[in-house]
Amino acid sequence: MSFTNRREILFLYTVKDANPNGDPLNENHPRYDEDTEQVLVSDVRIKRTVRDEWVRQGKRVFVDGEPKTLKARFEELKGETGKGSGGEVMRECLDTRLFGVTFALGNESFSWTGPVQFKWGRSLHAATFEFIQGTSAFATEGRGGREKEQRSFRNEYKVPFALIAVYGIANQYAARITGADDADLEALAEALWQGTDNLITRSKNEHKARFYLEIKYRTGFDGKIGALDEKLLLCPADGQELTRDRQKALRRLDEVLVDVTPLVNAMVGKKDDIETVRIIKDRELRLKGEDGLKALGFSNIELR
Amino acid sequence: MVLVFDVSADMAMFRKPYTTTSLVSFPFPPPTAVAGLIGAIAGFDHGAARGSWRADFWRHLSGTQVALSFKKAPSWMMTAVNMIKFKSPSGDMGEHIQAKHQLLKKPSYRIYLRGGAVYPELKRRLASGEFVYTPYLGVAWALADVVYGGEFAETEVIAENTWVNTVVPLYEGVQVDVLRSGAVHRELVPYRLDEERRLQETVNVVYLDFKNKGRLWLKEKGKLTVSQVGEERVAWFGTW
Repeated sequence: MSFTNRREILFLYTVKDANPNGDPLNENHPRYDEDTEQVLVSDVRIKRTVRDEWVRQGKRVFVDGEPKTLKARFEELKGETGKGSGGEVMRECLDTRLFGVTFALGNESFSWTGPVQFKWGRSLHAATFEFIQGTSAFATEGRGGREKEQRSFRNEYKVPFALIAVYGIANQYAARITGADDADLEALAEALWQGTDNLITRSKNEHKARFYLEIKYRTGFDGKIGALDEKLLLCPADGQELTRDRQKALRRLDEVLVDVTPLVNAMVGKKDDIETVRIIKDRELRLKGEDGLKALGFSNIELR
Repeated sequence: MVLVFDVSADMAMFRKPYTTTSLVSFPFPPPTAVAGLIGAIAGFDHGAARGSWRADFWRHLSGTQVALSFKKAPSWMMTAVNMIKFKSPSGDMGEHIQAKHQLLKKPSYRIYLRGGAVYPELKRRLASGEFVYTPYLGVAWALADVVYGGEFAETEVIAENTWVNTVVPLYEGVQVDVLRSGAVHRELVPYRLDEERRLQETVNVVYLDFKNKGRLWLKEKGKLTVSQVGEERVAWFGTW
């Protein structure tokens, strides 16, 4: 049975000396907001992190990241699942049940809006972007098959430090169409955390999950708090003003506290509509207003 | 009576047609996007799970009229999104599509609605802060915050020469006072689709340039209907 309770999701992670999400048409420069100098991360990147983790765990996903045509992938899945139609096969895939799909192959054409929708992630502070050049490992082959004597350079961008917030909604009505259930949402929560920690590639090292909060509303509640990511304030650990320059000079998580007071106040306003709250917190993350979060009485905070 | 509600988001994109490899956005949700937003809040399934071309919610919008104003000046950003090119069997990055996107940053709009069978259900949902399907501004990741402004009485503005707060559809006989308005922008926007998502009608509109802090003035309002709603003057799109 599809899930019946609406949820709101807030996820925080840190990036250190890595490229959170390059813009392919801007020399892979990290996406950012020119006005605020905040790092941006597309929803596509966030969902790729989750899907990669599901693939690692052996779960069935439609967009598995391998180079193949839609037709080839569909035929593979038909073989695996023993199902025939596009709709039936898509219901067997965790990612399409949660994130939706636009399917157009042969005579079948349909579109599911995913029950889970993520906003683009955004850092809670202004960041800097460093351009780094290095020497490539090997020389390329020259004319006549002779090896060149010089190696070429490689260019890359890195963000020295960013604390990024991601916000999403899980909608029970859209779940009726795709068949996403409570176990799927549990798999999403785990994959967000584990998948972020497992982003061990050259450009994504080091990513670290820091905070996960999931508000599960009571059955029948059709509202939301909305934009949970904007209900966090970043405070400097030393109590000094966190100017734009100081934000850009942040290099460690212990230089800041995340003030959850506006979030707690918003949750107090919806207290009667909330069934449970699940919170996972990294041991290194320091929250301001954590007692208020605990006092809501919905959840213990799981430390990782 | 007129329902008034505000919608805002971190980003938005209301894609213009025929912008296939570089996705260009209208600066505001055209009436067709407003229709989808109303359908999501009120809970009309578009039916696309049974056929991607379907837009069943249009059957519920007959008799409804909308108007729209900017709550802040549009600001833009350009970026590319790396999308999968399913039709190509190659795996290198060149076989993805790096589609340029023109996105609106922190957009915020006010929407006015009157008439139609959707009115009572929309009012009930808005007043209780509810929605059935998740509202978004143009693309699924542009999650929208919807804030109910209230229900207001309206009086029709009779004078030909009037200012307006909203985007103005250029219906027959409408004459914009450009000199008095300072500067205005013009767009051709989709206004109505049928239940199979086929475009039925477009309309030319004008809106004020926000560098100019004045008002958009009309010399003649022709066949346009303008209402006084609270302290705002609203130019209505035609009835769906």
